[in-house]
Amino acid sequence: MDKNIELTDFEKDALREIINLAFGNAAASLADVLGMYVFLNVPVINLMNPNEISSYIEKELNSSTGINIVEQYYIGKIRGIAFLVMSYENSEEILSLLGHSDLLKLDDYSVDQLAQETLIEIGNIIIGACVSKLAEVLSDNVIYMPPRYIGGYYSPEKVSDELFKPNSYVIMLKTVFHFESKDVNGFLFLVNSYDSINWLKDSIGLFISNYV
Amino acid sequence: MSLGMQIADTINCGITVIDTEYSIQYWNRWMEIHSGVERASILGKNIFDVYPNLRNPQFIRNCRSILSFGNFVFISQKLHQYLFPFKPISAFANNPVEHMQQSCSMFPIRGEDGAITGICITVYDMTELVLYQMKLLNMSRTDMLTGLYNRRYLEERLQEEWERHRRHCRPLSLILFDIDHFKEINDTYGHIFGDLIIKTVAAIGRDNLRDIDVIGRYGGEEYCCILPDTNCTSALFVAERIRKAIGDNKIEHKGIGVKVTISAGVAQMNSGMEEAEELIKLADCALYKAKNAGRDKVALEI
Repeated sequence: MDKNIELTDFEKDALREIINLAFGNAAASLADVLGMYVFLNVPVINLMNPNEISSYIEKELNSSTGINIVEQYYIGKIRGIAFLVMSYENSEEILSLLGHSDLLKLDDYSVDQLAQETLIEIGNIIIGACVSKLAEVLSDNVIYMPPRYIGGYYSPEKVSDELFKPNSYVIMLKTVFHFESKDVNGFLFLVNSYDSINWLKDSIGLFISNYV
Repeated sequence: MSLGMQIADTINCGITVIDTEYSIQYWNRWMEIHSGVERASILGKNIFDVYPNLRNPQFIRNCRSILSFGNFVFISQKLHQYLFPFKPISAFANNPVEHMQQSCSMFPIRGEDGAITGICITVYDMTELVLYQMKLLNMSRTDMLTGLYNRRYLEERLQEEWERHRRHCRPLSLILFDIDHFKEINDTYGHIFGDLIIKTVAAIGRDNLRDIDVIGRYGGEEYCCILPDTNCTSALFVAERIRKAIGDNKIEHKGIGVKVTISAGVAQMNSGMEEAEELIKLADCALYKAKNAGRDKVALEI
């Protein structure tokens, strides 16, 4: 399969526009929900083979310190897996993002465990906002599996086997985000299955027709 | 009754639906049983009126993320313990939790046109699992003889406190103490009496500390106290109080009474230290100083 036949340059540009619009909406929603602004950079779009996911993400992560990944599957007409990678200086800062600092008084869990749970919550909100707004612009509804924390290391072979056919393509979206006035930042990767390419092309066509 | 409704009413988890105005639209049988509130009496009521504890920033943030972008929310028991303040139903006799521990999820309900019309909340009872976890956690942290923390947990906590106090530039002190001539006491009176002495000294140590202090059994007859937000002057005072309380106490067993003494070393975290272990080493040096000065003493090392 030649990926260029599947998505034309014009369609890729339109998809970039759609994603910009969606992520703009996502940032606005996040500000509303979290009470603070989350800066989402313009996403980078790449088409790649599932077996390239691993090296792509690893390469992108080289610059970050300490790896904490929240992974979440989403299923609609667009379907795929989101990886939210966060780096931060200390766990207490993460707790403070959702106003969970008072939980430190509890003796049952360590600060790292609480930070991990909080990361899952933050990951769920950011992934939810970005994916849902993208789905909304494309007139799609998605459902989500519970987010999982896979900190420490990243093993992408499993991911590609479970979700993506080896000879197909994935649509990889990458964005960088950081929280307003907090020393917390990270990457969001959305790895979309290529199964829905025909539907995606139709939706892009519909989107363009609304603006031409 | 439709198949969906039958399942929703029979399933072993709570299901409730609220509309965009937070008014309760559905309340399944499980919710009836565990809340003690019947469906007929709760439908149409505002969820915040029935459960005022939900009027908190987190729950409202969850609802907003669902209504504003159709998010799915998974509410961790570890962070939140419960959403609905139900009584726990548990096989454990001495139930240490006041409320049923719940793992909940929330997701959007959509109308025919895809617009979000409400929020569905599901509630799973995690109490039994949580109680087992708590039991295991306690076992892994506790020294079985004394009931104090064990060495593994002490070291973990010291590392955490070390990092926190360094970051906030706050004083942190440590007391290491051990029972003087314990081997001879053990040899003279036997192991059972020896164990009783170890337990009694542990209890006196704990009784002379604040709730935020952490005391554990560091080795055979050696104890370690982590004193957060405490400088060495105050730590010396605390160590002296423990030394005196132990020295004044007579431990009795089968008609024999014995008085024991302790030697204690005190140290405070300083800017020259690079890791938590150095604080233990310094307190250990102070402990040797106290021993060499004739025992039944408290010494400070800077």
